[in-house]
Amino acid sequence: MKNAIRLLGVFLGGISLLCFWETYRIWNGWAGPGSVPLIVSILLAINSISFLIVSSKEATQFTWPSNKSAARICGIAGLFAFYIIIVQWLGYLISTWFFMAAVSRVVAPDRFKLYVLIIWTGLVSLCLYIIFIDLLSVHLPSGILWG
Amino acid sequence: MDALGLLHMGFANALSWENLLFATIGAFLGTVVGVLPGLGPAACIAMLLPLTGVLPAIPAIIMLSGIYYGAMYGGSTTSILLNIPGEAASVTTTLDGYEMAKQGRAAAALAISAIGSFIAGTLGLVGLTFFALPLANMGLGMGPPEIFALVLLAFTMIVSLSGKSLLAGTTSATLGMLISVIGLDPALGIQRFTFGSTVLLGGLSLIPIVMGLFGLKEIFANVGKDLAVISEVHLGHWWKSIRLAELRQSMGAILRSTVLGFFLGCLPGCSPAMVTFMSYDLEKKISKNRANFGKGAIEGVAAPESANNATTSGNFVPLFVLGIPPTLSLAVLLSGLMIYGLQPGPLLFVKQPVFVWTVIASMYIGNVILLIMNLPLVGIWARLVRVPYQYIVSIVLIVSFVGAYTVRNSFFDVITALLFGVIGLLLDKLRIPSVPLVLALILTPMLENSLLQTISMGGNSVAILLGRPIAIGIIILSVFVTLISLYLRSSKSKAKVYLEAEDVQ
Repeated sequence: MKNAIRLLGVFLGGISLLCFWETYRIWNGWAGPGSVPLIVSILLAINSISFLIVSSKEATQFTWPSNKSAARICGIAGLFAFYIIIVQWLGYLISTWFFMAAVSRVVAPDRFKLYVLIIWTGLVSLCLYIIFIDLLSVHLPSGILWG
Repeated sequence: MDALGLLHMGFANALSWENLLFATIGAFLGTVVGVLPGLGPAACIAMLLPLTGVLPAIPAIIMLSGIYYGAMYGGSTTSILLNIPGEAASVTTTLDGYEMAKQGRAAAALAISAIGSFIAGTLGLVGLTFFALPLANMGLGMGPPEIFALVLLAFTMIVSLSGKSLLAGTTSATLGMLISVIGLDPALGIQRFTFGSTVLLGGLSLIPIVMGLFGLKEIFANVGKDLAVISEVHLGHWWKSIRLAELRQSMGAILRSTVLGFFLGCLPGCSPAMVTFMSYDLEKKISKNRANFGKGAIEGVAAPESANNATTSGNFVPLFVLGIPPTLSLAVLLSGLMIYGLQPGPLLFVKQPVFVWTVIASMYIGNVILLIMNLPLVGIWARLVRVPYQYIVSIVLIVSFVGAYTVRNSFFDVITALLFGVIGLLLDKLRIPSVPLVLALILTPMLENSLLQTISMGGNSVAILLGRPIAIGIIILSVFVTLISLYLRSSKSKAKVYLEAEDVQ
């Protein structure tokens, strides 16, 4: 934890310097665009120094997730990122079907048989599609390969 | 027209089939998110806000408000039956509610919770009806210095929302301030922190950030856990389970918590979670049954459940009258009002009386709907908790994706939501609360605008504040609220439950 807190202190210090530089660039007096960024820079510097002081005194409980949990979290976040990409190619319906099936597989690998999973996620994707398009009149992304 | 006349007009509108339907949908969704741990009302409102674009302002805000106060009813179900608070304001209810459930009195605990919530919610709305209009009339004379002082007062809530560490809370708020200044500055249109990127010119939208920090983050956090299998809970009939003597015994606690909850709810910074702790503590001190607190005392359920519902009604006073959101969910709701071109503040009562009074009237109706939903149908809500998390995850992810995309029909907002989901998880691991970040994100533009106007009015000086008695009064109140929050924080043993509740958020 000490290292994580120290890293946070250094990170905040870095952002604080960046803010000071940006404030200097845009400074046009107290009634100008730099007044709030200056306040933010000062607060970030204070927080940074405070964390660096705390990190040398305290040992707080801090646990990273286990490998299994981390794999699941990375799996879901990665799938969501992949979904953002493929939805631009395949459009909403097909990519959502694929995404829901993949997420269910990652979250509960043994819970569903493959054919149940495909039917269930297909039906849910279709229901959500109808709700979004017909009921809520939402504009959904249409893909380059499939509308 | 006086408050009663305006409320009558509000009821005439709120009782239309469209508004009744959306009040029911809001109450239903609120109960669902209150029951389900891991998805709070703020994330739900943020997800649905872009999707309500198809609706006119009144039914949309009626539904979103219904989610907010409905969650307070739903949150008690899992607290009592499973010792799992559905949302932060229900943490205190677990202390006696779960004890009652273990003694086979779950139905009685749920019944007193629903009855207390209904009485407090309705009385709180009576308070809102009669206090809002005079306060709004008083607020009509406020200028930029007073608004600046009010925003400062709102910033003091960060002290009370900082969880266990004040340093962590201020860091979170500072990051929120930093994010809010990205884009063009409001006075001269100069680019700030855009680094030449055109997508950053319009700044980062609030909705994807809230979705990321409170929706996606919860998903990421929960898929990393092996969720426990939830056991069956036996529920009897509520009307047979609660005795008249117990109802009479709880009435004092309900009324005291209502008064406490409503008036504290009117102050920026008093979240329902904080007030439930205070009402529980008060009852524990003055109740004749104090020895049973923590062992299944019925007043121990009635007090926090009444307090949180009265607080939610009180919370609408600063939102509607001053345009200051006292809680995260109402901060998201405030951005919803702005999307519809409605600027909360004293002028809202003058310019949009139909909107304000229809929404207030719909809350009275919503409380009745919630009582009906939560007493006879409580068994259904209890079963909802047993729905496997795997079913919920993918649906929440899709709704988040569509909600974020719909804000500006842009993938940039979806990427922002994902990024803030990961940032939220990291903040969680570092024990830095996310709520101050979002509140600062909303309050900073208000602070900046009023500060710049105040400085301009004062000829490049803030000394003008000294000649404005209302502004000075509000600044003194800010100091007072901060000191109370710091006092609560210093008496660690007493504040333990509350601070843990805030951590749940």
